[in-house]
Amino acid sequence: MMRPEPLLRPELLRIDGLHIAFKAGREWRDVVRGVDLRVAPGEVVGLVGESGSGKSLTALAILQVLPAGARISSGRIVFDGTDLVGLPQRAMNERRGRDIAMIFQDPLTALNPVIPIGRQIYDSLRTHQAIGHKAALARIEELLALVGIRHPRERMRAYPHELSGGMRQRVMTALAVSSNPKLLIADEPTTALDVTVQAQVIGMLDRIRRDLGIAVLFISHNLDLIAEICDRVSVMYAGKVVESSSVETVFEAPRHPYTRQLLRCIPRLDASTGPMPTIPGLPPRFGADLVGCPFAPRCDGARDLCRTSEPPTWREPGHLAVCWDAA
Amino acid sequence: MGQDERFFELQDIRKEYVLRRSLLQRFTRSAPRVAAVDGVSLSIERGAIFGLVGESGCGKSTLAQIIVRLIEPTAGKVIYRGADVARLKGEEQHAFRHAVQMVFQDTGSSLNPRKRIRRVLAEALKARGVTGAPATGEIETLMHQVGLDTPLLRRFPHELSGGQRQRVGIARALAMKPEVLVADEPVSALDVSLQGQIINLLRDLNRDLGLTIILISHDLAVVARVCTQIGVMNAGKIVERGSPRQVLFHPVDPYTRMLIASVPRGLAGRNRRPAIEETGIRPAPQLALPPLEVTNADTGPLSSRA
Repeated sequence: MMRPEPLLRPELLRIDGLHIAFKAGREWRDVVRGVDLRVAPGEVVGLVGESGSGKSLTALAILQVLPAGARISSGRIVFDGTDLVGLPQRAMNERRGRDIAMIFQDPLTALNPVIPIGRQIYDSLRTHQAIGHKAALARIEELLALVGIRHPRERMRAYPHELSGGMRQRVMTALAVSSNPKLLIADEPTTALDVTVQAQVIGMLDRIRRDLGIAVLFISHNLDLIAEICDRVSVMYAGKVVESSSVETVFEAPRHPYTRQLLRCIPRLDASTGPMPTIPGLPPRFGADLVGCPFAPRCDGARDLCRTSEPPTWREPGHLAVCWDAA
Repeated sequence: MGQDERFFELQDIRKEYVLRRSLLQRFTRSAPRVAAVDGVSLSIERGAIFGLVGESGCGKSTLAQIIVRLIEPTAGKVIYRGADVARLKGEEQHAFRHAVQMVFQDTGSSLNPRKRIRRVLAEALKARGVTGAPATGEIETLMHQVGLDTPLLRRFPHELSGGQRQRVGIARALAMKPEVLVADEPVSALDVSLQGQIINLLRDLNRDLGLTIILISHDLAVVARVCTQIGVMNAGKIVERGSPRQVLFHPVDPYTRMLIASVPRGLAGRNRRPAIEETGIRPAPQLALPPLEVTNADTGPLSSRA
């Protein structure tokens, strides 16, 4: 499938040098340490990383819904030409849920348990759009059908707890795309689902973003899943993007040892036996003092330089890696 | 060989739960029932790593609890070394409890948050009658076996990483000198880069101690990698059995095929997702359980770990 060269496309989202800090005692400690990210209109960008890498915090920062005790300490998040950092609450509210929507790992926390799902979509439609009662009802049916829910008219009256996990994820997606957003942030949307249901939900997401032309920031710890639906991918480690390129390049010619070692760790359905490949050691603790490359203690090619000096960013058109040995 | 074949055997195991009864049903003593495990027969050889794969609600955790006798089956027998486990009494029952140990997915809740690691292990050893200086020595051996440094003994569970906690859970099970280890989703809460460490530890224990391992997981790729035999479970039944090679490359059951087709496969899987959705592959109907009833009330005190 041919896609236009990503670099030539205009940007919908551009994150520059994003730092997010948590308060630890009296001081603020950076846990996201300079993230750069681009998403073009209609593009699907994957953000991959292990727990604590800062990928979810980055997503929450875009919507300006960071948890209590966290703040953006520096950087810019430019969406559609406007810097969202420091934007007044009211202006942010207009974009949140309308221009930028988000779906989460656990739909039960995002859906209201005591309101039928149809009503929740109805409220969203009437809030964000100039739409009449009848038109809204018709649109709900359309949306539920769009996310692959059969008998949408009957399902509208269901409460979230009456639906299976996969169905809830579909409903949350319907709710998210009801306002015709330009960007959909999907934070581990299938992690809690069974693998067969995951396959269906990913199929659904892929189809609707094609149909609607929505850009998607897809956050996951699962590289294989990201490879299936994303155009580009950014790999995060210890609060930083350490490698970023097209999915093909990252899989076939990764430049960062973390990416390489991570790719090796993914259990695959092949005939391989013997010990499973692993990355020794542990990622640095949240907010730890970092000297040199944070991956150096676990890296199979680390040198003295890596342990003492922060690695430079190596760049080639459409590809970057933060490593002394990337070149 | 003949002895070995009867090492661990499940014979037509059923576990039924009663759904909510109507008033009439209370009087007539009839009630809708649902089988979480629906006639499972298995034979596990000594020294094997047996993998049990299936999705949520397929009955694999219920089966695990039956194997270690946390719950009793409605029908069917568990045979261990030729003896019906349900008939064991006194000393023999005690021995069985020690010989078959379990490791849980969620080490955050299966380790007491208020006890240091040393105490967790000391109490397990005490249950086997080992105390004092021999216990101290054995605690260090256990830590070494699971690849943990002894200074961690002073820590509380929350001061350890998920992978380290899982190692403690395994050490605690090993303290009983078990012959069979049932590991229920031991790595599904861990990051990919760390999963292999725990799986490899299980492999080493199997090789070095001759420990028979029953590995329960939803992850077919992990199971296929380390197990000698695989059973695929769906809706309370084992629908496919064989070596990893047979199951992966020559699956017979349609559910197994669907499971294999659903696993993400990186670049090789690009542009196949819409196809999956459109061909309408759907999971076999799961147990017709109303979501809350059975898991809460009827599976007993361990349901939260199921």
